[in-house]
Amino acid sequence: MIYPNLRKIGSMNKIKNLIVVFLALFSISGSALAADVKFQVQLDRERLVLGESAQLGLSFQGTQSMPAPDIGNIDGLEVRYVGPSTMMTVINGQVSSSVTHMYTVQPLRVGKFQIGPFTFKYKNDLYSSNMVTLDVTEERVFTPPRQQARAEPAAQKVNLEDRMFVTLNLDKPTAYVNELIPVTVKLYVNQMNVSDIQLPAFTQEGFSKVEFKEPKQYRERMGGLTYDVLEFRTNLYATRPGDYRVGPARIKCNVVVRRKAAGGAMRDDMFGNDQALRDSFFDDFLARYEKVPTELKSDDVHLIVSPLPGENRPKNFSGAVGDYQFIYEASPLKVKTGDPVTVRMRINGTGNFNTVLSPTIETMTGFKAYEPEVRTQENSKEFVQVLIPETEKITQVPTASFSYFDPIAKEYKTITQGPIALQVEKAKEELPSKVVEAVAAPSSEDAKELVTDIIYLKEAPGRWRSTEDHIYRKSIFWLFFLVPLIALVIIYIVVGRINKIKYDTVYAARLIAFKVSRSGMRALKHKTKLNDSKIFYEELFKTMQEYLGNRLYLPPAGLTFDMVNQKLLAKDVDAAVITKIRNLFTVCDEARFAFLNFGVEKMQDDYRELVDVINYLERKKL
Amino acid sequence: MKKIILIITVLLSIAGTAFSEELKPLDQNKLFYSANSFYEKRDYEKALNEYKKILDMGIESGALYYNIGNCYFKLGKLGYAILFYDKAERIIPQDGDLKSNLSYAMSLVGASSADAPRKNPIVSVIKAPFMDLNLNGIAIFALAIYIVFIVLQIAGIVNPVFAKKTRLLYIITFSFFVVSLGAFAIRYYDEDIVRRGVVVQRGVECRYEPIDKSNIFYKLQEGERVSVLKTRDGWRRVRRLDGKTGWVRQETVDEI
Repeated sequence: MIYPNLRKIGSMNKIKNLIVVFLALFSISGSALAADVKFQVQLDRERLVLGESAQLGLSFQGTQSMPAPDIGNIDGLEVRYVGPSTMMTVINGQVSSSVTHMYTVQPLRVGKFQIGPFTFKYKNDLYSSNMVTLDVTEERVFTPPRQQARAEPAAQKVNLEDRMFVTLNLDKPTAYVNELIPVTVKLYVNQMNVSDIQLPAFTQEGFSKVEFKEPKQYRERMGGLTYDVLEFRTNLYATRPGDYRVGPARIKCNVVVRRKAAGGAMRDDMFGNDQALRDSFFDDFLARYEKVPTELKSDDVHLIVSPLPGENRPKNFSGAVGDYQFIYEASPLKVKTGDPVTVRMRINGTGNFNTVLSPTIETMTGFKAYEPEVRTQENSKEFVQVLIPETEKITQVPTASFSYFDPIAKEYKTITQGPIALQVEKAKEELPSKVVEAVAAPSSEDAKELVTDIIYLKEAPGRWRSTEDHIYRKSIFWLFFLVPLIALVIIYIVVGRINKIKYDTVYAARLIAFKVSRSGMRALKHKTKLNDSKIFYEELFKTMQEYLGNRLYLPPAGLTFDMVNQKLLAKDVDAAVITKIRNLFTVCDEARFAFLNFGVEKMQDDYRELVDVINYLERKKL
Repeated sequence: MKKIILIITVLLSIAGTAFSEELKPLDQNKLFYSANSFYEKRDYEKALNEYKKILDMGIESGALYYNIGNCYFKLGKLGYAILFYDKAERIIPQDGDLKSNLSYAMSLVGASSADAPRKNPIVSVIKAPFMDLNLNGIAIFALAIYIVFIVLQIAGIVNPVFAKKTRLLYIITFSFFVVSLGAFAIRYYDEDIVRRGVVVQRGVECRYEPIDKSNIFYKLQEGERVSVLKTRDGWRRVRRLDGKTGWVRQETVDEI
């Protein structure tokens, strides 16, 4: 499991910090009382050589909305404000936050300086801090090796191993087989940007599987340095005796490395050293950051595991090691033969519950017994077993015993509980058909306790159906979806068309034109057979006039070729078609007003001409 | 408005008539009551035989599955009892007696609803209003809502003023339709696409391969629910709730 960004320290990324601040402001109760806020002063080192600088942090635990306090002038020291640093942790949904205002402290002379205690008033609340001392010398102090440095890292330079390391601790140096041994793994980080911290891992032959829980996070001061500590705890137990070296514990994480340009050359500044702290605010935005995967390893720890004593070992001992209590209950205590009795055997206490097996019930004679159901919780294990008395001669639920080894007393113990008095009646052969116990479906733990048997059978068969009766598999079901949809589409189209005709006069005229042309053409075809050119051309003119009038949205009455020609030229109509229309107008005038007679062939030709004209204009977008 | 209600009523009644395939209660009622009388005399084996004769006729009912579950319970076969309660739940999910018996049977075999994997909250919200309906019920509900929606749409097309007045009704109807369709899809997937099964024997060994000599992967409890992925040569490939898959003998797991 990975813990992304558990820790955000330093001014690595201002934007991320802003987001963290907002998140914290929303998630932390707005009513952060002054009593909940701790004001602490820390120095990253207690000794300095003149000319070096130290980092001073004024941290407020429990809030992130605290401005930088004015700490005034400290005689012999030059103090400069660097900026705020926020931290927020979310573990198991619990949010904690803090803000640390960072200062650089530059000594101006040799001596011992007291920094603090400070008092700071903000929003009518007064905060008081602790005091720290700074020893400034002229000579350079020898840098001790790693282990010494961890205890006394007052030197001017701190190693990577001292900035970030892992410890492994067992709560006891000796243990018995199967005895729980509390294990603590701590990750110490001092002023480094670490993310994606994984749970500690170590495999240990001869021991149970190690699974760590969610870590605790806090700060710890050690050897003059302030560390952010992630504490992982778990329990393990040895499965066989021996002399072991437990560990090392390994933790994988990513260390955020800052790369920045310096005189055109890139250099690593891995440890957020003093130079980095003195960098200006804007350097943070210009720098690039990279994650470097790192694995930290603790030292291993010596552990002696003793075997469990062979003498006085109870027969029903199953390997349970610890300090336990045994609760034994049965219900109901008045039943008929064939009715179930629920027996609950709860083991409470401290110790290894993995090796706790069901207590032994003395004798099952006269009972039909089901396998016990096991429910494991933290520090308890419950075995629920159903016993069905088969005869009315039974008077009690037999005794049950549980044996375990107590590692503190170093002896085996056996707890015996029961017997529990039980009243069993003979079930009647012919019971009336009634509900044994009509209880509703249990919705709570209490309800579950009340259920002692199933509810009686259904007296009516209900609605019979074919085993293949699934309506959604029938096509008619889906037809009922399809038909209304088709109806909707058709109605939508029809109503749309009606509305268009109603409100779009040009469109309506065009539809009328087509309708008129169809009826006119039928009439013309009929009149061709009469061989009367006057009647034919009067009909042809009428058809043409009405068609062109509606098609070109012109008044049909009094329509002339000039009007038509003007409109058609504007619409870029083929000249041949215009010529045909002009010829038709001319021939109509000749037949109607000059009373010229034309033969059938001419009438048929002009009929076809009109058909061509109408077809062309129907296709043409006008 | 009255016309619309009339149209909807007519359409729904036509739909109801088209889908109802009520079987004529011939011999099955006689068998059912006969089985009940055996049950009352505590002759659960005979009662079970009578109930199963009805199933052999290709007929089922929620009460029939419930009573079969009760018989198995009384015979101490909790796996089969849970199997038939599960079958009954698909037809009469709202039945309180059934819920109670199923819950009790599961508690006896050490299974509980808490053992089930966490469900997607969106899926749970969609399913919640339809918990008391079986798949047929949800399908008819979705169809009814759909028809109401379409009729409202048509009315709105014909009469735009009506459409403006009933805009909220459109939205509500459409939302109901989408949710019911979603619930139908989820339940259809749960009941028809994924084949569920129940372990009907005690201490069933689940193996890596469909061979008796294969290593045991894990053990299944009687009454435990599994997904049946494949059935082949007397073996079933099953998936436990935690996602682990293995092979069991076919007779040890029965499909719901």
